[in-house]
Amino acid sequence: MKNRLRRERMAVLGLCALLAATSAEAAARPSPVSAGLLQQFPYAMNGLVSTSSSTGSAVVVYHPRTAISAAHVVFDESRPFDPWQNDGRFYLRHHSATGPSFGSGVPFAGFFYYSGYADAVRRYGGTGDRTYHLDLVVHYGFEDLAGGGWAGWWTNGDGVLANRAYSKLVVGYPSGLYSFGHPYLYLMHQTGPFVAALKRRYGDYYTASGASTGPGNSGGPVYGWSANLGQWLVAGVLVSGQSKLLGDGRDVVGVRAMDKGAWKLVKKAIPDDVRPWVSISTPSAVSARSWAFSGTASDDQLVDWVKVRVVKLGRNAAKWNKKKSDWVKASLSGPRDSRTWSATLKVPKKGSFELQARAHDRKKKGPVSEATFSQ
Amino acid sequence: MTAVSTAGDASGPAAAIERALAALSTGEDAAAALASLEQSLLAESPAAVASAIERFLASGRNADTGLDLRVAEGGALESAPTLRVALLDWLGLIDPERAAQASLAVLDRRTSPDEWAVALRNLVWSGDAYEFVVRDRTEALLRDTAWSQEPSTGYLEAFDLVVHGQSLHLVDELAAWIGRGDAPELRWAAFLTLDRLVIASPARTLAALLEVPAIGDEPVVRASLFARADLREADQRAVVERYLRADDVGPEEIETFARRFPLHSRALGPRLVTREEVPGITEQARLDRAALRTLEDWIAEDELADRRAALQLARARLESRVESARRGGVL
Repeated sequence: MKNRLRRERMAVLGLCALLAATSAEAAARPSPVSAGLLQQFPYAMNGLVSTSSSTGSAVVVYHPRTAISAAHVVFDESRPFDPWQNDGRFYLRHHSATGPSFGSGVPFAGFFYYSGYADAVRRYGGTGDRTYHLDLVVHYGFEDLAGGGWAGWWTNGDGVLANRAYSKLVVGYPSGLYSFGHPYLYLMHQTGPFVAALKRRYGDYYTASGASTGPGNSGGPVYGWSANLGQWLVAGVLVSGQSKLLGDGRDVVGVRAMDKGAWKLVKKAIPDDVRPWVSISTPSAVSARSWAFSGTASDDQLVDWVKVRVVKLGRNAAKWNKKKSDWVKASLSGPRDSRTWSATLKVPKKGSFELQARAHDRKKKGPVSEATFSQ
Repeated sequence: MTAVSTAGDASGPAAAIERALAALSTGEDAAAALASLEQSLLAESPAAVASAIERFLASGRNADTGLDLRVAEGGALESAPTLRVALLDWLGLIDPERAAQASLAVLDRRTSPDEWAVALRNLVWSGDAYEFVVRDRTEALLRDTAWSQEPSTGYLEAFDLVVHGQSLHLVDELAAWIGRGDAPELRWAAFLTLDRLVIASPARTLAALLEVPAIGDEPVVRASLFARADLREADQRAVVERYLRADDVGPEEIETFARRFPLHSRALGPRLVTREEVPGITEQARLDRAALRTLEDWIAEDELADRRAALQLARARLESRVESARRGGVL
């Protein structure tokens, strides 16, 4: 939620699988993320959004150059015909008692929002359920926003939010909970993990009581735990809330679900000339000379195939590479919007080697992703 | 000859429509009633369904659904506020030519702005033959005093037809609507329409805007629209230079222009008839780079000395963006 905002507008992850989920009855409240966890998923993909007149939260998801947040973070109602703040910057993993200096961070190149949002603000007010239903913005950058990484996502975040079986986690910057000078003021916070079945209020807007964040957390991701993948995946964006810490009568989080329609908006922020990309997961050894590699690739709108090769490093590398280091096509599988590649390749029996992976579409090659291993 | 069901049949599309009418009139769950009707109609031949819808529309009967008019991707409706609007929508999907005929009949009477919006969409979907009618009826809809007092969603969605028709002769009128204090939704719809006209036809729309003395006493409006310009195009650069030199462009307006220029961000969402073309990221970066070079020229110009401070702010922001594009390998 942006800082100067209404209290009702407000806003997890990763290895929080290690943490026990709190029941909603026990009231999940925001607490600072340990600095030692900031480099780990899912915290590593979160950051602070700042414009010349507001701050909020965001997460890099779906593509290394796209970040989702709440529309109201960059929407200034006091400017009737100039409400959209066009000078936003992203401060990845900001974690400090003070805010970032405006010149640091990565400038967003632009953003997309629902055409009905501004109209909804005028018709239903900034805190109307129908307004929160459209309270989503997709920022994009000319460069990677999180060092080439991105958070995973649920294609059906609405179903995940509404299902008690999935633990929830909220991440962001609830700086409005603190007074100026407080050591926690601009620390990354998390609320949860907690258990709750969020209730649909209107369209894609859901709320749950028993959990709270604070002003500034708006735009932060609401993750749902995937037991199958062992990961926190983005299921929604925090857009509203109430907090007993701020004198409200109860603790509430309001979330704009990321469903298929919302991901379509994200896809539009990946222009045609963005190159395809791949990531590399931890491999497993099939034998001493053969390893199974896998990873994810951009969705099939961008990727027609993935090619991989093993490059030996160090002594005798040239000889080995000449014989065995050819690009080969990997197998592609998985749903349209979450492609997985896999390949079993010969590897050097000893020493270090590098796996290189590259996604292609019909017109262009993506950048080469590299990961170094040894045995 | 095509077999056609009649309202007297217990089954068939006409009977299904009658059942839906009865259900809606007695306050049953509207979404469920419309979903059930859609299922029934999908099971029938398209010709029979089209005939049944035509007869129902001609009867003038109707029932409210209590639902919002919501446009889905591609221009079809996700939900409709009345049974007639839902049927008009489905007819457009089933048989564009017959839908065009039924839509012409709708547009002959002053029914409702929601019906008119869907009828106009149907005419566009049927091809170019009704271009003049679409333009004429769109303007009649938007100028209807009563309909514009409390604009319905369909009324507001119909602004998309102005963009579709590239109706630049309406620029003055759109600017005047922005100045209306009695209908905030209308003001915003008019602004968005101007914005989308600038995106679709920048040089001509901006030139037309230069002839508008003021836009509703809101200097930031014109500034935001001029911030869309692509200075790589000579005609756009020329019109922006005229804008910067214009006497009626004050410091607040220039500051807004400088804060936004060049503007890539935009509203996306389903429209009745138009589609959004999003420029590639490389294209955007090149536009930024060209804008930066032009800003340097302008800052050096004595004739623009009174604009210099604002232009320097724009330059600082753009330098950061262009540097980002270089780091990202886009430039």
